[in-house]
Amino acid sequence: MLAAFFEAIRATTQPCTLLLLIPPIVMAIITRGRWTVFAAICVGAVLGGWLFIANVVALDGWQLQLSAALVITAIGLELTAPSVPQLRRATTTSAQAAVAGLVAFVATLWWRPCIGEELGVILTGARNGVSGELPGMTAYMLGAMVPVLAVVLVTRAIDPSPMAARRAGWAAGTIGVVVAAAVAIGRHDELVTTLTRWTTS
Amino acid sequence: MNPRVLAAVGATAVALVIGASFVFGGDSDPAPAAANPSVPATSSSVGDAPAPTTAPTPDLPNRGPHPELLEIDGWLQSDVTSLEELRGKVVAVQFWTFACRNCRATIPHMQELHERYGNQDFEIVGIHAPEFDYEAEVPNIEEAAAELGVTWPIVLDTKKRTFHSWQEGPTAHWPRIYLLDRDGNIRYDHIGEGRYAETDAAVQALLAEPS
Repeated sequence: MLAAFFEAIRATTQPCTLLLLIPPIVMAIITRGRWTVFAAICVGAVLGGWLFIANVVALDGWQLQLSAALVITAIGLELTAPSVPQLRRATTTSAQAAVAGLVAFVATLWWRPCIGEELGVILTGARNGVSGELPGMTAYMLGAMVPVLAVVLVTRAIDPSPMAARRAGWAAGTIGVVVAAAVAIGRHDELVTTLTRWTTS
Repeated sequence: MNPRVLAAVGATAVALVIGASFVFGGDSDPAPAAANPSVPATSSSVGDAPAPTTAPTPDLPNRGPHPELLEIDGWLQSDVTSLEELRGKVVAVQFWTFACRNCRATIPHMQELHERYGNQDFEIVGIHAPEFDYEAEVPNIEEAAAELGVTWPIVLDTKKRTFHSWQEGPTAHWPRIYLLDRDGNIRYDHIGEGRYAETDAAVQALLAEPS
């Protein structure tokens, strides 16, 4: 399990984890690194990872568009809620956690992983029964969320002023919306392609 | 302790963990020759590769005849044009695409198999199923094959119909290797990098089976 954890950390430097990591990182920044939100992100990612190895769902066409719309709505909600009285409920920690967990879950459905040895063993083993591979996949997804943890810790260490935090949130949110929009119109491949070519040339 | 200091210490610890995963987290079963995919393996580097690591022979259940090659766009580097022409041989069918980092990492091992068993009724067929548009262009595939030292037959599965039809469920993966016995039945299957010694042992076992 430890090997899977560390392999996932190494994989986070590869472009193939871009779609998995950007949405939860965006949510972590918008919510100013709240621990409850991070925990929910981990839960969402782990559940998504379990669904991934179960190999029963692959988003395509309108499903991708719907999932992207969901993520854009979530980001927009968390960005605008503080200044809209009717949306204040969305700024409670539990609401933010629920939204962030959902976003992390959706991001796992966008993910097309780089399959190293450990993940390969998990996926190969899952063909004979998913339950035996759940611990390994849990370790893998937690490893994949280490960059999100780093963002949470850095955000808490910096503890930016409310104005700076808002600006950082909007900047991160813009990136998240661009990525989700790219997914919605089927252009996210180009983003990953460019990064892949840079890293393999 | 001040929460900000605590968070800073935590961030440093996470950075150290990430660094350690690169320093100490190498493959447990690495490809021994030409591990750098950007450096083409020469025949001598493959020929000088150490003898296969001893590994127990994995279970090789008969999973039935291999599926057909669907809507392929032809073959490269090959005298044969169908898997049926390879009956009587043990065949390693690998799904790959040249920009896939993990696929590239397996190439040195495939070269070893090719070098070691190529004269023993063993053949490798790489089914190239592109992930991105530029990977679908034949000149790019040929250039990558030359660069990586892929000398075995390549099936062009541009539409990825074969890629998806061979793999169960809605999600298909690169790299994935299947070993076919002399009768064309799938006997071994592995997703991802690694398990090289196990794959080697499986090839030996299948070659040892009577024709």
